[in-house]
Amino acid sequence: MNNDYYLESSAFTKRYTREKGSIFIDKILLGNNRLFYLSITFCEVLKVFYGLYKYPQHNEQNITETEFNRLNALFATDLLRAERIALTDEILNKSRAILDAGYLKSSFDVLQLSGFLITKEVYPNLILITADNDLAGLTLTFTNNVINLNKNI
Amino acid sequence: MVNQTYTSQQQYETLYPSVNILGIDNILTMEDFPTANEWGSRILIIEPEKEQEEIGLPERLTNPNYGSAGLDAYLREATANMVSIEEVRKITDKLPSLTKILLDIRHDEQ
Repeated sequence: MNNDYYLESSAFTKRYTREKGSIFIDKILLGNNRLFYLSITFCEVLKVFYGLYKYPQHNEQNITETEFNRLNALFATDLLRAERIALTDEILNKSRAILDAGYLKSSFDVLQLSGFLITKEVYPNLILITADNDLAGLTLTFTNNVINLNKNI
Repeated sequence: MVNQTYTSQQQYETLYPSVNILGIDNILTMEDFPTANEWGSRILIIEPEKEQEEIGLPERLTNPNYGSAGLDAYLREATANMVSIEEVRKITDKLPSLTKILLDIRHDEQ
């Protein structure tokens, strides 16, 4: 194993479009790394796919059922490469420390960071991969082990 | 299970004029224990063990991993439509950034 990585939802969505950070996340997913994700990631990313397929918002182009299934298939394959962290009461409780340190608009963000910090207590070398600037910024309050896919890597 | 001793026949009969063992129609009284005096008038009542009552919420509502087998089965099933990452990116080339959509959804949550 090379490194331990905790993939936050935005790390997965980065992979499926050609944009800054996509190649980097490809390497992490396909390399000999130990990967983790919080269970809510499944719902968060799936919601993006469903939005494009069945519930397109203004200015969004929708995708066909076949395209939806293909996106889902790659996402499922990626998830199966990683270890799923359960949303435990300990993780919920950790959200107090996070909100005490700073404000994140989304409860999902708070839980993602909680999940990362608890997982890191078990795997001390764990690195958070995210494309969420707010989340990356607040993570730095706790640890420098964060990679922001929006920055030059 | 509750074990209790009674120091006299009178005390026992006051408290338990009859005893229904295991819920079967088998009512016992002190007359069924003719040698009770030989035991020093001490009678041990052992209540049948009751089925453990569930305390609190069921595991389904408290175990964070409950249903994980079903989710894993879905993920494995979903991979049947697997195509290469390049094929997926051809699909998303016509779309806005999925990450931007995700972050917009998050930031809309106030």
